[in-house]
Amino acid sequence: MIDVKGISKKYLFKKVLKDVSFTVKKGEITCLIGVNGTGKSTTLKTITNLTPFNNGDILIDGISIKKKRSDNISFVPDHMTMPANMKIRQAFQFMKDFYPRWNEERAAELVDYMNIDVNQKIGALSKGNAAKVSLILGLSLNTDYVLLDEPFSGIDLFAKEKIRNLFSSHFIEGRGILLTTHEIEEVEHLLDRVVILNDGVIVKDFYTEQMRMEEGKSVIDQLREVYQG
Amino acid sequence: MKNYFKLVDFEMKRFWKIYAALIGLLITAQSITVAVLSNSYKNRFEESYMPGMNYVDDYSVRFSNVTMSDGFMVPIVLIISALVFYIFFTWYREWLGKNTFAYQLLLLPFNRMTIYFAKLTSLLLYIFGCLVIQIAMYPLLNTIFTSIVPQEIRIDQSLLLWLSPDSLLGVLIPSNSVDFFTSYGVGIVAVSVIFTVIILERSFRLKGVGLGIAFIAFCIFLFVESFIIGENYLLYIQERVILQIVSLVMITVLSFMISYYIINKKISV
Repeated sequence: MIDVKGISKKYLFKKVLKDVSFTVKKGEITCLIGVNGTGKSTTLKTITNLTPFNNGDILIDGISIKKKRSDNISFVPDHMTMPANMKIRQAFQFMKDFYPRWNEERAAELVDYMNIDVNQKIGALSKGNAAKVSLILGLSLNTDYVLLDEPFSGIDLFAKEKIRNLFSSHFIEGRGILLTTHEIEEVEHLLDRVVILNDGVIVKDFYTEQMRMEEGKSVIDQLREVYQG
Repeated sequence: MKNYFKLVDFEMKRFWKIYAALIGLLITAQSITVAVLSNSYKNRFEESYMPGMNYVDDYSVRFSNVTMSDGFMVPIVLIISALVFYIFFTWYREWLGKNTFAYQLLLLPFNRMTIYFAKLTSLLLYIFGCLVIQIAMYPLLNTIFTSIVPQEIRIDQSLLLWLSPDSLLGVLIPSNSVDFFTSYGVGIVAVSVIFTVIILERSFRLKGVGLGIAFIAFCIFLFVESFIIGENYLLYIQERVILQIVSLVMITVLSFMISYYIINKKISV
């Protein structure tokens, strides 16, 4: 389990995360929702040690990331992070060379599923294909947790569809997924849990099914309550 | 260790094409310069040739006369500039530009100091690679020189004489091993300090620039102080050298310790 415990983060004089706490469990898809600039990406970066935090702690399977950086998490940022002059197959080779958790068969399977030509240069990829390749890089690691930052941002309809279908596939099954998005309608039906972040503070944290059953409200209803009162 | 070697290999491959182009330019420019200048010396000699006259005093040419020319030195200066640029480029290219590769590097599942050492090693390999190539070019360039310049005006020079301390080449490639280790030792320490400053800047941005400047000032103070103590306490030469080595080791260790902490705990993408 990823256990985020009261983390705070300050950039110069601005507090972007204020006492943020939530958990991500294996086998569940958790979505961190909020409008732009509410601290969603910063939260993911603190969990992956890409940005330090000021207070609180983050435990991955019970071990604080302050003590040991976890290799049981893969992170898919909202943009391509491999050098533009690299070919996709070279990016795969990079992952194979440096990550003991790299799963070559899964990568090949995902390449087939996404219909990607691995001889293309990273810099020549369309936004949709770059998003697909980023996902392949992240999902091909044998990790229990996958963090996805805005996987649907700025991509076309068909790429969105492909990516959306991934969430109900065996590539995701059994893993703890934490994704951020402000395009909630794309994934609402796939989510187990939703954490709503507003101005660096968690304002709601609920299981979608429970919310539907008990209060008859959808995720979008909850978002309206938060942002429109 | 395996990851370190793989990362060094990866780093080397990323700059390899530019480096190869610079080396190609060095070899071509220096060979052409030696050929053209040697030819002009030969022509000058042939135009004024009178049998029985002693030409050595007025027209004598050493190999170093040719290699101290602009055409020979400019590619060296260009390579030095490129390598100085590379000290910064090797870090900043990971953050700047379209794709932020720093994400991938900092997520690698091993100690981030491996990235630091891989970058430092690849830079040193490039530097020493240049030195080796320059030395290895001596036979080729000397052959061009001796085959063109007539024996009557030519004063032959060995490699050691060519690398005399009063030329830029002699400064870059000291023929004395103590001088070599001193200048390159200081150079390596300086690079480690700059790396630390870059990491400080990448971690704390503007505040990091201030911290970096303070760190550089402290390192300079520590190094200069080792000279001042040597003077004030009238220490023997050997004692002074030991003191300077100790100050350099202290700066290096401090630099590594700060970098280790910052790159593992404070760096930000």
